[in-house]
Amino acid sequence: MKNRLPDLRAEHGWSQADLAERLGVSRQTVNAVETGRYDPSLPLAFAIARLFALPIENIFRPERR
Amino acid sequence: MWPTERASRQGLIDFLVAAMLFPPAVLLLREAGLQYLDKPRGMPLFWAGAALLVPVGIAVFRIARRREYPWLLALAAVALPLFDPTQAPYNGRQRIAMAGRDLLLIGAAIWFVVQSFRRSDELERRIHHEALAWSYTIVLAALLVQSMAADVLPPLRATWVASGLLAGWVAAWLATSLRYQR
Repeated sequence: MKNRLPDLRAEHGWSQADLAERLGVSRQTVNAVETGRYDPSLPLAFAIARLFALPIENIFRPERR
Repeated sequence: MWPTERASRQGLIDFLVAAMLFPPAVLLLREAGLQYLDKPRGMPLFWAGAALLVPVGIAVFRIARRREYPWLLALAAVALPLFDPTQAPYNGRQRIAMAGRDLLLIGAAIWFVVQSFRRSDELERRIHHEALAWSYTIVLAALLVQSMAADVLPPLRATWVASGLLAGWVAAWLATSLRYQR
């Protein structure tokens, strides 16, 4: 799963730790999501979408097989 | 932070200090207990063991204060084989005291595990699940091998199995944590 999290985070001037704190997860989790090593659960994906006030599909995009 | 926010480099150092000093402390105290009739020989052993327990206690306190429970699980893996259930208590009062001690240790272990999970987010829980699966599989394979060669191997103790499960859990947890990080 590809995502725009690094760009969105940069637009807001947040560090990974800042975003992690806002989402109530660890910085490790934010890092793993950003690098595509971990696909977030639906609740976390919705929380991210809500935080950036964007639809989920504008943030996450499935990779082509 | 290394390897994760739940287990820092300082926590690793504290764990190593406790893991290196706890076994000799227990062995010295056990030897002091065996020498209870020979006080001039037993008391120095007792005080040496007690002195070694001081830095162990400080290290454990620092780990617990930072709530880095994985290092406490790792320390439990080191401490479990030192537990000697063959020294049976001799009367009812001693048996109750020993049972209380064991319940306290088991209760503390369960509490640390529960706290470790409660403080985890979804990725950390996933890492724990993967680590537990690895630990279970490795220990199961080791037990199968041991059972097939039981006649040439020393008798297996349950504390070794429990220690292996905990050590495998922490080792797999570290490896899995690093895999999810850059």
